Amino acid sequence: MKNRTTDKTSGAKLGRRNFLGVCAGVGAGAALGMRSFRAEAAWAGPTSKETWSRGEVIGSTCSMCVNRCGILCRVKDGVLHKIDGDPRNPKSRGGTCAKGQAGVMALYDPDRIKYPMIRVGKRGEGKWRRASWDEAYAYVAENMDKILKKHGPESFLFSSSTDLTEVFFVRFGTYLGTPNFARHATLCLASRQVGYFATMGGVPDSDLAHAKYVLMFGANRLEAFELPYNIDLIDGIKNGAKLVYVDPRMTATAAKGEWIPIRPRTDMALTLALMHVLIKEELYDKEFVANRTVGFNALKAHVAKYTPEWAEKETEIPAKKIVTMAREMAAAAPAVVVFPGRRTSWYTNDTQFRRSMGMLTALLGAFDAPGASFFNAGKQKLGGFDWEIEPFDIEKRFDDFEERFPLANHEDGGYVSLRDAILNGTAEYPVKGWMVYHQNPLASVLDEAKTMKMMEQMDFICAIDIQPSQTAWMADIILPETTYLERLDPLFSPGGTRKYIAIRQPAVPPMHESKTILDIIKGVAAELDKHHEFETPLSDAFDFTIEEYVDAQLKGAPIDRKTLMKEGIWLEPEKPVVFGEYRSGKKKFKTPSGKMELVSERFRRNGYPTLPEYESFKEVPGKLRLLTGHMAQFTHAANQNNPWLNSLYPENEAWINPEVARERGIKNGDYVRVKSEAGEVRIKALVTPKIRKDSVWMVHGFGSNSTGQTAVKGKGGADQRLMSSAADTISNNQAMHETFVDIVKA
Amino acid sequence: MAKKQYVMLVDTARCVFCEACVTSCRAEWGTPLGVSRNWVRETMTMTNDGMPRLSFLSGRCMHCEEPPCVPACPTGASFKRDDDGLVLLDRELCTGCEFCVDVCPYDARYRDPADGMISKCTFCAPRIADGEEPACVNVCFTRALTFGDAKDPDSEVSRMLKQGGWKRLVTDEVDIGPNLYYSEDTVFDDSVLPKAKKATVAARVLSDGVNPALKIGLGGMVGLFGVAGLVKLAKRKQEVANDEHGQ
Amino acid sequence: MSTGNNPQGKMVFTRPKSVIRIHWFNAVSWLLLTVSGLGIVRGDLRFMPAGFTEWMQSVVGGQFNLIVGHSLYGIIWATILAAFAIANWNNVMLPFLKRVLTLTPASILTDMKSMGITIAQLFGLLKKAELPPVGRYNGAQRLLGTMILVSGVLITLTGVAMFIMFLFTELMVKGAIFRWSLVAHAFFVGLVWIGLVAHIYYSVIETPEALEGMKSGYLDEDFVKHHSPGWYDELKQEGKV
Repeated sequence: MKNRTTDKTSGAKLGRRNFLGVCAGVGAGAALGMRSFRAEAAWAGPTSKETWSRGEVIGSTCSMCVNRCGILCRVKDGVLHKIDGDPRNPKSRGGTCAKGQAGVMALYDPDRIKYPMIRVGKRGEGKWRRASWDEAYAYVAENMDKILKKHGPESFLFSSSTDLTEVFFVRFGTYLGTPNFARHATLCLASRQVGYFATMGGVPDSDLAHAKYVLMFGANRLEAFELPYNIDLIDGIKNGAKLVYVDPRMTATAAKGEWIPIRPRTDMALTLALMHVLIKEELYDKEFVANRTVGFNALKAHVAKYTPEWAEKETEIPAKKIVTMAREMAAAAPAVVVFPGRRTSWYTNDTQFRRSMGMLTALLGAFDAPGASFFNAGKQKLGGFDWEIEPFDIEKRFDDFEERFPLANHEDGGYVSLRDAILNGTAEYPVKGWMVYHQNPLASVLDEAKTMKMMEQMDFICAIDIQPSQTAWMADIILPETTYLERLDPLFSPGGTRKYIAIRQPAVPPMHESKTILDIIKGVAAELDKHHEFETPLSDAFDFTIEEYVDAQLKGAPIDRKTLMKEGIWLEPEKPVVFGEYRSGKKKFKTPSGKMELVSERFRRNGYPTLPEYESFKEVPGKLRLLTGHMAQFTHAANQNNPWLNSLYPENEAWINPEVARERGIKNGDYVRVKSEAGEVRIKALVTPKIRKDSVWMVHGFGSNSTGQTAVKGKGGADQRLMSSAADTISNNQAMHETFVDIVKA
Repeated sequence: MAKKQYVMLVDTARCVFCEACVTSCRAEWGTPLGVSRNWVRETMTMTNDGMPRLSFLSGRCMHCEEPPCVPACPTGASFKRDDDGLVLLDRELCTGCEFCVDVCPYDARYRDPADGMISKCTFCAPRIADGEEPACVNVCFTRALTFGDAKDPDSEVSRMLKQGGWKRLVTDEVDIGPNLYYSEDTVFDDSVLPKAKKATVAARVLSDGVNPALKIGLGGMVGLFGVAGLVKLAKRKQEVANDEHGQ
Repeated sequence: MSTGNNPQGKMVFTRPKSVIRIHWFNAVSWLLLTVSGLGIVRGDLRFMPAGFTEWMQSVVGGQFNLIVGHSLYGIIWATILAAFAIANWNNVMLPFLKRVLTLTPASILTDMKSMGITIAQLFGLLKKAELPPVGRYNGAQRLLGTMILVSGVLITLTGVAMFIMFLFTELMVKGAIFRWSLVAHAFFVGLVWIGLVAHIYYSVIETPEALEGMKSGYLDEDFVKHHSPGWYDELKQEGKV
């Protein structure tokens, strides 16, 4: 009865359920059990209906995206029924996003990989047989051994995405003996890293809560979350900050400020013109520029030609507007944030553009002050695991990544570069084995057809995943990993204004036959050791438990594992942020000069233009530039199939300007065909004034080919299917906005 | 007079359309797919210089002062709680007949496919009974939602309401006293404004057709035979008088 | 059949005790079910003032009890009537149905005409009008009987439908079925009561002999002769008078 009432009883002692029970007792109703039966048929996760109880609370860390918000997992009768935000967590501050909430359904997703599956049909056909773990380990080891014997260990490509457990996977590859890793960076932020590193020795934090003026270039911070920036940005705007948002598309972020619909690919023309105005009108921070930067005179000469009038022609932003922006920024300085952005995989000139953003920050002196950019206090020093044997020297990567992209982060590798090397035949040796963990390259790397081709030439593809992603569906074997809600992970201590140590620990025991990546590697390693004599037996390299690893991390830390598991988080007492140490010169920038480099010494050494040169370009006539991005409900292509998130937006749409739609006879809601040189998709049209006439936008992550993803399979259009292969010339970050498409009514 | 009046304030300037409120609600109350107790809707208007202006409206049952869903219910399952003004559903009495669903100008009600009963936002009545915030308020990291008792002068919502700058989602035709407030700069467009709803056909047939007709019919019959009775009485009196006279 | 119990020797045996019992059970049930039913429906759809529904619900300890009580009693009522009808199919039901059912348009017209004249005569009108031949039941009685039979079946069906939906909401029976069931349930109950007003008036005011007959099972021979000449002829033929 309690289950059925809402705070008010009808006055009856005998509730409906009890009444039915009595009836059943006297044999009056045969099918009375159907209430619970029906409830199960429409099961959409744990049901609590009209009663509430917190249940047992387990403090942990979210993994629905890469931000690692603090979560409180509420468990009742062994079922995780709700995830709350952890109010103690400085990053997420008590809330979560929809994705964080939908973690429950990452755990209970009916489409989850439940046991090891070995391919029996053709690749991608979706025909599998269930295998035991012993069989799976033997199968993986056998196939890896074939490649090891024939081509050697460097013939393996290891792909993985950023997460706490990635260390184990990378260690596996290292001990196997391959130098070929392809990680997240060049799908996302590599150009920002290189650009900012060259200019100021690192990517700064932003004091958005206190900024007076925030300039964002396509960094859709309020939809593509990066906590706590979105909280701070909203607070900052409420405190009176002006947000100027530069993007060919009006996003939720743009809605909170002034939208500047810039002509795509001309963002650097705007930064250069802003610098031009700042210098010409002597609005820059003279003291900061004189003391803490190098290369001002060269810059002054360099930007002389980049007048607002010139920029107007490039950007289609009125010159007057550009002058006003520069003046307003200067007036607000130093409480100005030129937001560095996150996914910066836009154009082939992206690194230089990001560098120009850093230079603009330097000119404004908008650094190391309240409301400005700053370097955070750094991480809590964790003990670190004693790996016993250091990784040995490894062979050169097959795509000469280190030589071709000297400033890129070589551990991350470059996806476009390595794929090109394989497909163009310039790889220095055959690449025949692909181990993919926690990543979905078929969706996340542009030009899907090329990735498919690369897969075709692989002898063996092993995917370790939670769900039947597109990539996993193309593999030869899928090994089911536990979700973040079922496992203990390595600890982490993020950089931020307040130091803390957070833990990710099981809320519930592993479901189905899933195993942690460490256990999976151990299983494969033991089998591989039987086939192959490694310099260090792989089993020895993984002769530790996750608990031992965490204990080692906590060596010398102010908290032990048991207490941390109980508490869920360890926080340093709050201290005010100290500003001024970089401004005063007490701390040096990690650049060759120790200052912010308007003229980059690193770029000079590596033969790149030391000052960002703008190159004019022309659009392809009659075609639209394809833009992509995220929305708040999904992380990459990772959770479009999550039942709860899918229900919020089951199918993506192509945003088309009303004028373009009218010209092409497209009405809102029509299906259209979007075609490029790389491919074609069928997608619903959203006719909206929120996008420029020269562009079309669709959210990333839809149009999955995996029949295992029952909710999202075949729904919407996949942007990566349309994007032609292109990459930033300095960082090899993929360039996702360089493709032009045709749109016709389907 | 209600002792409390729960209200929710939605500062749309803080809402980023992440739908955490929607998903948190789904998780807390096990709402099946295909229906939802709350929503976020985007509204748009064009400014003078031809640029779109957007608002994101997190919405749910507005726990109105004059909720049409309450009198629409034939069993009294739908009720407004005297203590705190919450519009709730007595799940012992609900038949899933959907009389109430059709009259809500905000489309806040639906029939739950899992149990066949009508469901809607309760302002998390079971949570607030335990001193917790509603699940949507609790999850909102930009703090767009504020919940509390407007009759308690010390509450956050009272303070915020006193500061002013709030409006409700009403029109000249439809103002049933919603207890959900939106910040004043919120764009209300046609897609979210409440529409006057007529009761479902069966309800109108019963309340405007069958019931009055039966009242007339029964009244007519009682009247008819009442008069007949009087006629008979008069006759009998006359007969008696005649008899007496005759004697 | 014996007329031995007739003290005056002029009384006709018209119905056995079982029929009398079922009639009064039916009458009491109609009263109880109507009063309780009127207590259930609240809000805009209610027939009675809000005070009545509140009072009615408080009498039985709440709306839930009222709904379940009303429904269960309705099922018991319908079951008993049905059981009686089946058990006495040949000796009571069939003859009754034969006499009472007004099913063709022509017979409905005749009965309506007869009813109209009867009512008019209450007011001293149409005194000369010729009534169609009356059997055991006159036109109005036939119409009422038909109406009660048809309505009773529909009221039972709609009531059971609503009760099932109330108990098993998860069957997801379309809400429209409940809604229109409620409309029909109310309509047919009201319709029967409109007829019952006349029924009660006649039995109490116009022909108290008939009321007596529904208590004792006997009617005065003269009364039968006067009110149901056709039936009297039948009885005569059967040698029962």
